[in-house]
Amino acid sequence: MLEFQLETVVASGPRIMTALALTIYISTVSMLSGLAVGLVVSLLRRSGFQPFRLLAVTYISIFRGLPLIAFLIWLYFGVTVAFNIQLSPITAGIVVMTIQSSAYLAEIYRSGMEAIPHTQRQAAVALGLSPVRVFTDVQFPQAVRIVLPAIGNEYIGLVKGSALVSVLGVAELMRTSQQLVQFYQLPFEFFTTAAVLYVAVGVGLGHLFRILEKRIRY
Amino acid sequence: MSDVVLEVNNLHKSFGSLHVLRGLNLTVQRGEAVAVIGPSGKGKSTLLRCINLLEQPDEGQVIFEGTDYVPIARRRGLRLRGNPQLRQLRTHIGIVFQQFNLFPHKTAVENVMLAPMRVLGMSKDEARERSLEQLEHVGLKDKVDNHPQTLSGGQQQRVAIARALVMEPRLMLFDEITAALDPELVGEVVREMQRLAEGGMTMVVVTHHMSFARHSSDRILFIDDGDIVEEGEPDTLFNNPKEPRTQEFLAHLLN
Amino acid sequence: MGYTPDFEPVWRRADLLLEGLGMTFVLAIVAMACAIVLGLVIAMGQMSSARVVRRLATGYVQLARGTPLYVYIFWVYYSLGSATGILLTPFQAGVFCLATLYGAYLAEIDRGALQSIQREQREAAVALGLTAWQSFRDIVLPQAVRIAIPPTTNMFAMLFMDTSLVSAIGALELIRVARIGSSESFRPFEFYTVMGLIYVVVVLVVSALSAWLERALRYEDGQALQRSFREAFLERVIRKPFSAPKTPR
Repeated sequence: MLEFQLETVVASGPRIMTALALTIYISTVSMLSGLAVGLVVSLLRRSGFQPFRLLAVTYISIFRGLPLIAFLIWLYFGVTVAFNIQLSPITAGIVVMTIQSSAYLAEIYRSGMEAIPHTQRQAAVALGLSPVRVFTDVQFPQAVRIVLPAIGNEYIGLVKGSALVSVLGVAELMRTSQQLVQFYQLPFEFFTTAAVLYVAVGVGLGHLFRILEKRIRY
Repeated sequence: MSDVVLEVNNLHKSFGSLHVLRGLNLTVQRGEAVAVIGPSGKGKSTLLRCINLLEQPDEGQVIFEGTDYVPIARRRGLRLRGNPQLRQLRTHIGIVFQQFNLFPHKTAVENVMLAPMRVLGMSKDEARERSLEQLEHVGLKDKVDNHPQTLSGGQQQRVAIARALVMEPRLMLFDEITAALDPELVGEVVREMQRLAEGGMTMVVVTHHMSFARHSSDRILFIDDGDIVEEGEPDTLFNNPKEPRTQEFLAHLLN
Repeated sequence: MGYTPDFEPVWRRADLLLEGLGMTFVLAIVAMACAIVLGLVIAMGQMSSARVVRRLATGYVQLARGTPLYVYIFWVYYSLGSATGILLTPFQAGVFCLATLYGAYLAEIDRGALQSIQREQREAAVALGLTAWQSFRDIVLPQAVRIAIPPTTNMFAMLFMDTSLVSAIGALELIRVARIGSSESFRPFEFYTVMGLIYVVVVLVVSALSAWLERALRYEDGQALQRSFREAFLERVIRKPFSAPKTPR
């Protein structure tokens, strides 16, 4: 009763793999930009200057409370249409995922910083280090080590979230699977394949990060 | 150069409603090893932290080599660079903490090298050379590439001492540095302090370790309730304490 | 720029948005309820003494964590029917997917809470002569529930956000009604902005609730660890509503 038409799936192999590559590309670019933007946001959040702090907190609250698909639709179907901005779907997808992950990463950085005993800062200050140096040489390196697992999780979350970019028409894994389903009328085969691939990428990234954590361990 | 390295006048510090330091006065001469003893929680640590301005005194003066740093500390410098004069001060005053506070993500030698490179602007090679020297002086030549977690408490504390000494400070502060150590590790750390004292380092040592206070210091301060109750030469203070509170404290210690 | 936002069409169709919001809530609450039950079951399974059960439960959790909800929804809605002959409405499919996935996430929270209590308390309970079930029911469970509540509330916020995905298979929740409204009025920017704001506000409220709960349910230093959730809830939430004392660190 439950048959699985493997041959059809395999026949579409190249197309699926290309789509998978695009998925990984989108996720990775968003992750890297998100790491950078998230750092800026978290620095603003730590700032002594009230308006900066307020801005950062608002940014974080909004983008952690907005569902990814809502954000994507708002940007690509709302903003671009209204303000007549030309934006390719891939770019829109990456921009949205960058912003959203930056909000989560900012919170991750913050939890990392808070996990460092404040005696570390005191020791650094007592040595005469400037506030910048205290951050770059003592606090940040330790924070990163603490939150590396959480960062890995975020990366996996981005891979899963990239499936939503299909809504914008980008030919990544989810959309390609949908197109294949439409063409061959084999939802079970192609959606299962997609799910398996996503899980596989997630597992792979998990292993990668565990290796990374071990290497950074003192 | 004057012989008075440190002068503390009328130092007051409160934490909320707790008035910890009450008008404390202190003078430290160059080359003096001053031991500070007294019951816990009565201001000894706070005193040290006010000396290098890790804590901001509410009132009073902290005069290091002729300059009062209390008003300087009050000035909020530009955010990123901090307070340059204060940072200068800290290159001249070294402090070793009870909990070592080594940087866990750096090896022993890297811990020691950090300040010379970043604060004194030394090149990596020069900083490394000096750091290795200091680590050898404290007897840790073969542990220089170890991370703090792989070192015993006594070893970590010695790295902390090296880290402070590499900056060639003119005044050293020790904040109960043996209190967090297992008894068998205390000896090696106290030996370092003795070595420094004999070598003529100007130091203020807050300690429970009465043997050091008695045999290696030039002067002892007994602090209780935020002020100096009695001070004097070790032999005088230990054998003939004048104040009743001093007598009580010492009696307590000896049983 | 030259675009003047006109929110009038949105207010005119407020009824539509409210309907969508209502549907979203129903979806979220039903799914959450199922997820909570499922989570508890799976957590117990993970801690079971039978190795097969343990393996199954852990495997389930790991699989759930790696599967994107979006793909899962499509998989269930479009292929379950053809494979097993069961036809689900979009709403049902949505509830099923959300519940099964979030059940796994909650299982991890529950397991963490249970394990953190068990270690400390089990020995004490056994020493007192309680049976395993008694010690579980009277000592471990009440405390574990207390620990698990704030993260569970957070999970609800995330589940609420994830209901938006069910729009893709046709459920009339917030995103879909916003789409309808915007295509009717040719004002997509306005509709989607309001839609986004609604999500943000709801999530913020739920997060604030979670933070407040965490503070209200925190143990005070020196308190006996044997306080049950009911006791704590009654005292902190009913008798001392807004002046929850700061716990001394």
